[in-house]
Amino acid sequence: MDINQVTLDVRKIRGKLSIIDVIGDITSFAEEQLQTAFNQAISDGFEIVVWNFSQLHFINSSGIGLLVVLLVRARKQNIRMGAFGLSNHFKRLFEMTRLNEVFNLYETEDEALSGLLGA
Amino acid sequence: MEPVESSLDRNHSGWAGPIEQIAITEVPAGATNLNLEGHRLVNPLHGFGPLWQKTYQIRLPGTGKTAAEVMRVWKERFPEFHPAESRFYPSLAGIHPGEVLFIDGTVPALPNTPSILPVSSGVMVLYEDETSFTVMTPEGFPESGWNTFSVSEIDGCLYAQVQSMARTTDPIYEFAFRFMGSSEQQEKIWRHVLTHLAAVFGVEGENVTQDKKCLDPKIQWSQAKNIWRNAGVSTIIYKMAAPLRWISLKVKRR
Repeated sequence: MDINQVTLDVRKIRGKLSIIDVIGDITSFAEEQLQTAFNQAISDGFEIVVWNFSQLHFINSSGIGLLVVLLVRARKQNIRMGAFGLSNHFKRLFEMTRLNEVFNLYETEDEALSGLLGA
Repeated sequence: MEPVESSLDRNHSGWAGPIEQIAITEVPAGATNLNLEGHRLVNPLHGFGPLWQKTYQIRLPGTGKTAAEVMRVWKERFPEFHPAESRFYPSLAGIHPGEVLFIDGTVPALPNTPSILPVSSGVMVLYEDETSFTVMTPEGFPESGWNTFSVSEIDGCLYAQVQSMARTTDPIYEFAFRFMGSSEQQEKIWRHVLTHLAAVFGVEGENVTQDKKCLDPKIQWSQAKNIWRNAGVSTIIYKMAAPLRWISLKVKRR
C-alpha cells in the first residue's frame, strides 16, 4: 500500500495569512507532512493558518487527532486557524467531533480571506 | 514507538453522524444508564487537565491471522477483555459508529487500594474501519477525548494497540489521576485488555509497551466548571439514594 497519500502545498498570502492546500488523505501517515507544512505556514511571523480542504479525500480518527495536535500548537503560539472547502460529509464530521467550535470554518477561499483578514 | 496505522478500506470505514446530545433508546442487560442521556460528546480540547497521548501496544506474533480478523474478534468480544473494575456493555448492535458502550467502573479511593468508588457512564463509537475503531467520551466522563483501538502489521508481525488522546475532565478527576491512583488503574486496565486479547490468539508472555506524551501541559481553568457533571460524584449520589428510590417505588405501588 502506498502510505504517502497526501500532498500539502503552502501558499503565503497577504496580511500574515498562509493557506495550506490539502490534496488526498489525512491519516497518521501524514503526521510529518502536516507538521512540516504547518511550520512552513507560520514561518516569517505568519499568524493565521487556513486549511483548504476542498480536495480532502479521506480522514480517519488518527487524522482528526493530528488536527487536534496542530490546534493545540496553534493556541500555544497564538496562531489563528481557519478552514474552507469542506464537503458536507467532512462538515458533519467536524460537527461530530466539535472541531467546528475551534476552527473558523468558511465555504470558500474568498470568504475565509475576508473573514480572517477583515477585508 | 512508531505510530501504528490501520489499513484503510473505505468500504468498511465510517464515522458516526453528528448529534447534539446522547439519546439512549435501549439499555443493555446489566448496564446502568447514568451520566449519558442528554450529555454532549467532548473532544480533547474540552477537558481540564494536561493533554496526554497515551499508547499501549502488544505484539501478536505467530497468530496466523490478519489484522482485520483480530479486530473482528476484538469488537465482537470487547467486554470479555475488560477487568471487573471496568465493565463494558455494548448495545445489541455492537461496536458500530453512533452506538453507545455503557461502562460500569470503580476507581480506588486511595493509591494502592482496591477500587471501590463507582463510576457509571459510557462512550460513543465515533469511527470504525476494518482494523480500528475510536470511541469518544461524553460530558462528565473521567477523561475528555477519544480512545482508538487498532490492530496493524509492522514488519510482518501484528500489533494490537490502544491509544488515547485526552485530558482529565475536571479538577476532581485531575486530582484522582495525579494522587489517588486512577492513572495507575487506567494503565492496569489497558494492560489487562491487551494481554487478554493476545491470550485469545494463543499469545502468552508478551509485554505491553507504554508510551506517554504530554501534548499540552496547560491546565484549562476555564473548564473547571465541568465538575458539575462529574459522573463519579453523580454515580455515588445515585447509589446512596438507592434505598429512597426503593421506598418510593413501594409507596407508589400501594
